[in-house]
Amino acid sequence: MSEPAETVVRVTGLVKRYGTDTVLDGVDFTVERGEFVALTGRSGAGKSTLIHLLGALETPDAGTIEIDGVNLGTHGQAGSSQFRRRHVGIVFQLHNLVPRLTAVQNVELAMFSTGRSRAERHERAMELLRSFDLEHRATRRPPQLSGGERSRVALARGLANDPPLLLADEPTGSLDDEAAEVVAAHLRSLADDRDVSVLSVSHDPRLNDLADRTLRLSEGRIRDA
Amino acid sequence: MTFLGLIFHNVVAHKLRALLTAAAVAIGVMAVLALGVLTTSLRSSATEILQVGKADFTIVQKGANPLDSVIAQNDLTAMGKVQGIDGLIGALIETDKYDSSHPAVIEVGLDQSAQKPFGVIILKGRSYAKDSPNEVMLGFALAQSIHKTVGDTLQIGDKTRKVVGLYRTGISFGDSTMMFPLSTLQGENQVPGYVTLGFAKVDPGVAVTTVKRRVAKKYVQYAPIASLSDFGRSNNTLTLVDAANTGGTILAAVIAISGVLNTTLLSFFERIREFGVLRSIGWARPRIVLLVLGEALLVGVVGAAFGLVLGWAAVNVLQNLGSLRGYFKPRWPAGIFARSLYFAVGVALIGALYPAVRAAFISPLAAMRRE
Repeated sequence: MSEPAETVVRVTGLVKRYGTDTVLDGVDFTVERGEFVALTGRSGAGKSTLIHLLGALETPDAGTIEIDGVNLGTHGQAGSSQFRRRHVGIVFQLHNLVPRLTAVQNVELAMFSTGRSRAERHERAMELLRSFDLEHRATRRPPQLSGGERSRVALARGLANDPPLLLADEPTGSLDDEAAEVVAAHLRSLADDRDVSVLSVSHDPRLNDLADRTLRLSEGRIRDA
Repeated sequence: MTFLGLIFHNVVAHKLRALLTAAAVAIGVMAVLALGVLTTSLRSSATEILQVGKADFTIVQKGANPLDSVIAQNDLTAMGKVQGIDGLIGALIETDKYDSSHPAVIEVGLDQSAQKPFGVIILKGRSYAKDSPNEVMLGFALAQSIHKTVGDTLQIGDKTRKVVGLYRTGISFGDSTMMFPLSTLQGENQVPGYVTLGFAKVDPGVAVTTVKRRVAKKYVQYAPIASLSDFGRSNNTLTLVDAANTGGTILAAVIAISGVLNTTLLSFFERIREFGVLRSIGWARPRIVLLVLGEALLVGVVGAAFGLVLGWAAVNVLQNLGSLRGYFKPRWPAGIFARSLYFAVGVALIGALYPAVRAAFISPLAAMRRE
């Protein structure tokens, strides 16, 4: 594996089709280390598809994706799991937490197969929850948490393995104003304080305002906004 | 949280599914245990019959079950003269109903003079008189079971007998019998001149196999038996019992695997989103397979524990069935418990394998889109 580059995300000529429908048609862009980039576009423009491709949850029809020096095209399925574990954190709009596990257990879940001991996993999960002001909610299960709290638990889980890139698919989409502002501020501080590159799909102007840069996806291509 | 802790947590969190899966395993284990104990006990009973009288070998009619064998006493007398035979005792074995709790008591007809070489030790009272028509001796285990002792009378069919002695043979099968003069039992069963089994002792220093071979060569209608393998060659009963055990075990396994498969597959559909989440956060496929199989293994072990209790209850029910009382004395060899545990683990893992593989190969996105 090559050394991590300053450019964390390098996408070149990315194409994705679903049947005859071409959703992404030659997407090119880069994201630098510690940069917060907002991805916008109308509904159905392919924003979520792009996030899924970057998270190795789908495979492109053409083009290359290089993240933290790793070319995704060279990875098989087993490699994809390892890639997701080591190089990206993903936060979904619906948070996708396991409802019967506590907040801290949900965060620990991401750290299996990383060589950390049980105590280290727990300590790391608690440290992350603390940084998102959730230490006092660590033993609560997702149904006992508010939407904003669930969103922050999902952020903590996404950062559990110290990935250089955090992908967020409308992280404030299901939140009220106050919670959305808190989450947006956390995303900003991830880029500033932890040097994490953040690529976030959003329709939320507050998030776009906090971003270093906004990319607009239209007709299958990136237009700098 | 450890991986094992997560497995335990997942099982406890899905109690109903876990109980249904454990029930499927338990039913299978119960069947395997009961069949295993039944088979082992029948084999032991067969062995005990062969060991009566501490004989070097037993003579039965070829192809017949030991208790249905018919041997002419004249043949037995002639066989006694085969070179190397030290002594040969003939015993008639019949069954009769004593009461509803003892529907098939084993009756042994034996000459008074043959009691000692047969291994009979009189514990209380005396032996029956030669050719006595109304005296009987009871094995001590049978006497305890029917609450009779020396001096009591007992009714068998339309005949009243006086108990004159209690005995033991050192073999549980023999201690549950009642004993009559040979001629009396032959007369009552209208088989004068015939016995059921012959028990042979060979001369000291002479090889049993040599004498057996001589008897088998000269008296082809009879089979000399010194071991279970000899028994198997002359009679297919044990083979059939083993086949029934194997067939029953396979059937129980199919039923249990179907049960585990059903409940685990339902659980997979309920948790499909969770598996998608695990894949999306970097869980590798083998780890998801391990998670599902680990849960099945835990449930299988719980099912095995339930199954052992159910199996024990089933064996007790069988033991107290009127038609089996006296014949079926449960034997619980250690191997049967290990076999039940292997069975439980095996059916749990096989039943859960397909759902585990499906969970591992699900597309994370498709799974997370499921409601």
